[in-house]
Amino acid sequence: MGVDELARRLAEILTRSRGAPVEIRSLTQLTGGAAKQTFSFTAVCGGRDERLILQLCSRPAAIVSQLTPRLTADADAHLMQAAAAAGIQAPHVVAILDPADGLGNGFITRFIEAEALGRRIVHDAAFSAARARLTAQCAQNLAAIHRLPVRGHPYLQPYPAAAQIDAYTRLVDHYGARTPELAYGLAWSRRHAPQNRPLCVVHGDFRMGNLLTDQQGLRCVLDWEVAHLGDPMQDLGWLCLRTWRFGGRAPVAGVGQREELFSAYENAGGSVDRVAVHFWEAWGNIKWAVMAMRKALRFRDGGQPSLEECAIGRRMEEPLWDFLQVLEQGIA
Amino acid sequence: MPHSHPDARILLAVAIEYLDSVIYPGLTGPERYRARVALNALRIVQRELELGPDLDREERADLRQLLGSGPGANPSLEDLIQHIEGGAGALDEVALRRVLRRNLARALAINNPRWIEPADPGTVSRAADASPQRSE
Repeated sequence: MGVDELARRLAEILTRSRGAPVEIRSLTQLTGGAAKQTFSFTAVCGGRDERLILQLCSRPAAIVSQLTPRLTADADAHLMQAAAAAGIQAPHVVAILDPADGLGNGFITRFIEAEALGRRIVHDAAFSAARARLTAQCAQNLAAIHRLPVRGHPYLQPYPAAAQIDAYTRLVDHYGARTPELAYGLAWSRRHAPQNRPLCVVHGDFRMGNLLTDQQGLRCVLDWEVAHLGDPMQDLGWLCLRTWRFGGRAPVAGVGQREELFSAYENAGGSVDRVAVHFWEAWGNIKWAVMAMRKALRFRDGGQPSLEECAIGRRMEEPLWDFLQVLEQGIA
Repeated sequence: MPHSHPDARILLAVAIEYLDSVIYPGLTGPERYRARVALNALRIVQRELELGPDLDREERADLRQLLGSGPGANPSLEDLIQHIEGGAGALDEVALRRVLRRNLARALAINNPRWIEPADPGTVSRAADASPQRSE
C-alpha cells in the first residue's frame, strides 16, 4: 500500500473516532520489519495538530522461529492502557485498529519528543541529568508493572524459566547450531532455574533501547509485545545485560549501579531476590546469544540474509563471554 | 585452487581501504550507517583469514589438553558438547570454563576484539596463556 492510500485510510479511521474531519500530514515510515512497521504522522483536527505514531502488526512468523509468545496488537494496546492507568510510563494509546479499517492489526499512540537511541542516552553530555535519574525511574516503573493484577490480562501467557530454556534449546537444534559454549549455558541454566518464583506481569524486553528518554529523564517505556507472566526478577536481570549498556561502564542500562536499582525497586514496593536476578542476568545472556544466532541463520528458513542480521549473528559470542563473566562475578 | 596474485588478504585490504577512505566519508544517513556495518563485516572476514588457521590449532590443542591426549587422540568440539551434556564423564568445572573462555576469546578476536577488556574478571590474556596451566 502506498503512503497516500495509508494516509487516506488513517484519515477515515480518525475522522470516525473523533466524529470530526481529520487531515493527515507528514506520514513517514520510521521502521519496517517482518513483524511490525511504525510510522509517524500529524493529525490535524479542529485546528489542532497532534503528532501520532502508527504501529502496524503483520501475521506472526512460523511457530518454529517464534521464540517468545507475542501479544496481538489488541492485547498489546490493552496492556499499555492498563499500564498507563496504573501510572506506568507506557505509550498513550489513541486508537486500536479494527481489521475492517483495511490496515490489518495495529494501534495508534501519541508521539513523544524524546531520544530512543541507547548510544546517545548513555554517552551524550545533554543526557547527563537524565542518566542520574534513570535507574530509579526504571525501578519505579518495573515495580508498578510487576504489581499489575494478573487477572485483568487473560492474554498474558506464563513463560517460566524452564519453558524459555526448552524453547531456546529447540531453536538452537532447529538450526543445528549447538556449540560447547551454548550447550554449557543451556545446561547451567537448566540446573539453576529458580523454583517456585511468583507469577507476575513482566515486560519482557525492558532495556536501554526501549527507554524513550529526554534531557529530564525517562519519558516512555516502549515495546510491550513480549510481555508475559513470569518471575519479575527477569526484568531486572535483562536491564543489566552488558549488550544493553551500549558501551556504558555502569551495569544497569549503562548508566546506574545495581544497588541503586534494587533499593529504588524495594522503595517502590517491589521485592528483590538477588539469587534470582543473578540467574536471570546469566540466562538473559544465553537468550540473547541464541537470538543473535537466529538472526544469522533465519534465511535458511526461506529468504535472503540481510546485512544487519548477518552483523548481529557475528555478535553471538559477546553475550556468551558475558555469561561466563556473570558466573565468575557471582551474586550481587 | 588458482594461485592468483595478489594474495586474497591483500585484495581484501585494498578494497576495504578504498571503501573506507574514498566512499564511506561521502555517505550520509542510513546509507552511512549500513556502509559502516558492511565495512565492519569485511574487517571480520579479514581477521578470520588472518587468524583462522592459528586459532584452529589452538582450539585443537585446548581440546586435547582437556579431553584426552592418548596417541592419535583428536577430540572434537562435538566430544566437548557430549561431556558438557553429561554424556561422557564429568569434567573439572574450572578447566572446562577456562577452555570455553578461550574458545570465546578466539571467536571475539575475529568478530569483535574490543569486547574483551583487560580488567575483565577471569580474563586470561593470550600472552600469559601460551602454555596452558590447569589451575587459574
